Amino acid sequence: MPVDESVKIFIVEDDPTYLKFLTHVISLNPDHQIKTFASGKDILDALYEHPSVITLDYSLPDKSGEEVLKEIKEFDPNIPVIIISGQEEIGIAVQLLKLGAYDYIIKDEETQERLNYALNNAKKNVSLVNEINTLKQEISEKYEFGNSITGNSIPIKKVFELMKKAINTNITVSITGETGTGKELVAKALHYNSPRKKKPFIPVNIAAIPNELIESELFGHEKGAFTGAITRRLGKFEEADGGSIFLDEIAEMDLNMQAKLLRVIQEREVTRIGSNTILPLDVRLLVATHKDLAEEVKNGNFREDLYYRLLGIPIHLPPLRDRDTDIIILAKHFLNEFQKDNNLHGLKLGRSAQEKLLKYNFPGNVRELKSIIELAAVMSNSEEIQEDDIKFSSLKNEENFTYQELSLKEYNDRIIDHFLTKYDDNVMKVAEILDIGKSTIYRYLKEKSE
Amino acid sequence: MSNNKMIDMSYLISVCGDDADFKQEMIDTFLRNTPPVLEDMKSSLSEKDWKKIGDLAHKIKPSFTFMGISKAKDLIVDIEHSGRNNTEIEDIRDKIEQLNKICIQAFNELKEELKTH
Repeated sequence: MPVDESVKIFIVEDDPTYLKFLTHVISLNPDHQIKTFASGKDILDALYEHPSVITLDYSLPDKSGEEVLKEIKEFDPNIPVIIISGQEEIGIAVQLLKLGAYDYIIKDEETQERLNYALNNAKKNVSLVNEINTLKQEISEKYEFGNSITGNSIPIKKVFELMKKAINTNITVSITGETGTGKELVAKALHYNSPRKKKPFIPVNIAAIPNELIESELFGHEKGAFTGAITRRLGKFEEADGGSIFLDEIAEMDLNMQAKLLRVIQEREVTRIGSNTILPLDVRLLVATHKDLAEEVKNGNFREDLYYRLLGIPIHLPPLRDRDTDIIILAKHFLNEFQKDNNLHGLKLGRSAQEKLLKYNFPGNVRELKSIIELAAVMSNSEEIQEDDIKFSSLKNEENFTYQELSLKEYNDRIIDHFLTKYDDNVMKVAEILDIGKSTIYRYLKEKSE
Repeated sequence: MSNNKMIDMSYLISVCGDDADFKQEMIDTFLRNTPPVLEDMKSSLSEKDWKKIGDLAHKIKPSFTFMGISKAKDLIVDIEHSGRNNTEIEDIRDKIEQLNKICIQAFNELKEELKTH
């Protein structure tokens, strides 16, 4: 942590002798760059220089310390202001600390020690605040449109349009799409591009929480509310206050819990289990599921009233196989990311590999593409990833078969070939499984050998 | 240091450590800036501007601590209170006059202190 890098300290003091003393004490640390000011106006005019810490004399000729402090805090609430005062008045000290002063130091024989202590703490504080701001900035850049979700295809552009409409309102967004299409990524992008981006984004995977725990997980509980509730616990809704909550796999919620969620959404308030206090909610709701919710309603697995409450702006994420050349854009993107993370460079995606990718149907969608590319990058022996480096998982491979646009005869031959390999060329067995004559298989083998 | 001296350098020396130059600078700054404040105080007295007198006393109070002028301490605090309440306190003229006398002696001693360097 860069605690000891050069720190800009502004000293505001109208008594020249005391100013000399403060300057001396603070300049004993060679990392400190000092600027001095004799009036409230002078310091306020110089705030644009963004000092790291300000020491402020309480009694200035033109303005009271309180006024100056307020104006500094309005300009930037993160600058620590250490008040140095000639009088010991607890009332004033408390008032200033409430207004955001970092410390209150009396001008007496212990000033030097106390000032050094306060300065060191304030500097650590500043570097932590800076670090947090940098991280927040990085996160919001990471989820900017175009950085997080890439693609030029028509279906994904429709998604972008809907997302742009959704970010500036508080409307609920329901995200649907097959597994691996990037539902959580869309939720994060919505949050980090919305006015709520500085407040928390709280993701909750409903499918990952046992039914009996969901209520306390979402709404929190008081100490002693039930056996095992040994401390008070804040619910996810409370944690997300001012920000967004993302309920993933919402279709997995049981009907009893759905009723409770509906009440919370309708009333816009939440009560911890075992508590009588009603807490108002300011939370934006984002939900996702890979199931067809309308179908779930028809089958009686999902409450109709809740369904309409949650629908909001529905965003359907297209499966990767419907996104044309996005496959290649994404593949190149993942290849770059992988090389960046692993200090590799120069690896390209060969033409044969690209063609192979375009023919595949990606049952696992973008997530699957990412792992295919990462594996290929590791397996590749040359500077270009070749067709053979691209390996598809066999999980749902049969679906892939139809995407290769072959003639019926070619499909027939492939199927026979597949089973012959699987059963060690046992013609009897293969004929039985495929319910065809042995002669068909022999004919195939004969053609193949010619 | 003898008891009849008005100034006491021990706190200033503890602040300055080995930095004799800084000690000289502090004394020099004090000698240059305090007399005008005292003059200001006297003229405010004739204008009966009690608040200003209080503010001036408040402003110079900490630097008297550096010079160890302990006899002035109570006087300055009294004068400061006059301004805080914005009223004329008893004997304020007398007190400012006393402060003035103490300062004249202290300034002389401080000038000596500068020469010994």
